[in-house]
Amino acid sequence: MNTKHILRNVVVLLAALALAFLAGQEFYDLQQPDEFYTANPALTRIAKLSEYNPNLKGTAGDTDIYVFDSGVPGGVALIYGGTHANETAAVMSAITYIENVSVSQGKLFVIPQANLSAFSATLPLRAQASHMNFTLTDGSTRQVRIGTRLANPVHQWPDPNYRLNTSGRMLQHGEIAEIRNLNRNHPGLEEGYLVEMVCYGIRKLVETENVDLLFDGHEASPEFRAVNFLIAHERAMDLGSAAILNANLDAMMEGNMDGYPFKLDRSGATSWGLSHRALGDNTNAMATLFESLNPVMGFCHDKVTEELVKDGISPNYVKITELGLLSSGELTEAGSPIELRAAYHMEMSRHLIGALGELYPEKTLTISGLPTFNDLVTNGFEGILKPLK
Amino acid sequence: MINVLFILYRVIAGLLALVALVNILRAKSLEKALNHAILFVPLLLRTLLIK
Repeated sequence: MNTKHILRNVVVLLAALALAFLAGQEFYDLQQPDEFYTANPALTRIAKLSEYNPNLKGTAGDTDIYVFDSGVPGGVALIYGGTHANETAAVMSAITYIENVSVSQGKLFVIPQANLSAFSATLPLRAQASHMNFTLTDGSTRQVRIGTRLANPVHQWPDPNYRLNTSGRMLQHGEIAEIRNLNRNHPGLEEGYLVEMVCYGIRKLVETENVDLLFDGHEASPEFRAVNFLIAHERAMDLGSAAILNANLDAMMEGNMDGYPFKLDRSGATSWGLSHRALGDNTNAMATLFESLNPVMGFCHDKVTEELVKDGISPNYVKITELGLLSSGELTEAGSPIELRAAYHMEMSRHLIGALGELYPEKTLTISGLPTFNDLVTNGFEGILKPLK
Repeated sequence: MINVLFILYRVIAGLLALVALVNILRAKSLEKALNHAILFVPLLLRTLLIK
């Protein structure tokens, strides 16, 4: 090999290293933790999930748990978003709780990034936006992450060829990547794949803290039957009915005579590994899950820009709706904005907490300070989020 | 077992990155050097657990 070849090959190697550095820097930045507003005086402490499963310590699954303890005996609820890190309304709902809620009876746990690892990557080959930006009234900007449905393969790798997980769900063939899906692996394993260990941590949190009500926030595609559905475990059906009834009565009192589009469904008997089934079956908590409408989740979504995620305006789905091809998640040109989606999550969870005290007085959990549905929809997150100091 | 597999796959990715690096330096044509460089970048990022 002559000197000319060696020189040329070294130049190619240096170019590859430069490319790796430039690309790597962006991916590395995505792995850095997000900053949350922690100045809410009602916040008792920030716990780690590794307190409930020590095997998570130092891993990408050791997410933060925001604890609001009134010190007065009462009900205990766990509200979490970020099971799927691209289902942003659930994350925004959890953040709104963290920044505003006050608890005068009982105890509230909030997890904004349940599958923490999934926030460190975006969907591959989709040119997906990685953040939403909100310019607040004081001129500062709040950035909120948009991640993926599954844990980052950098943290949990390789996916096995076959896995019979703790819920009895067989993962194989095309479904095998779901081993990185938090909502397929409940109730989890103390020592197993990262996501299984996160599931176990959540289960132990529910058991240790005697959680009465569990609310897992999600978003669904327009094609999905269960858009705006509350899915409830058998033991949570009464609670869900009361919450939806109360939410609609509230809406009517505020002048919205159409009420909310909430519907109730019972957790499927074969929904193995999903929170409403597996945590409902394996703990004493009344497990619920809510789905709001996000066009980004659908197969026909437009390019996943920050605008699409925030405004939920999808020309593809507007056209599909006009053609009459959608029966559940119909989308007009008004879209399905993040404020509306998050407000639905807030209303649903708030009324579940209210119904908990109505049906089981000894489990009363009294919360206040949250923005109303109209506050959120009218002012947007620009007027609701608090600036980071 | 799961942790062992994780480490093993990382070692394999590292070895493959090393092979790609050597092949870049030994390539007899620009096309081959570029081919190996395209392989080298993701293997390096996976070895470093960046991507």
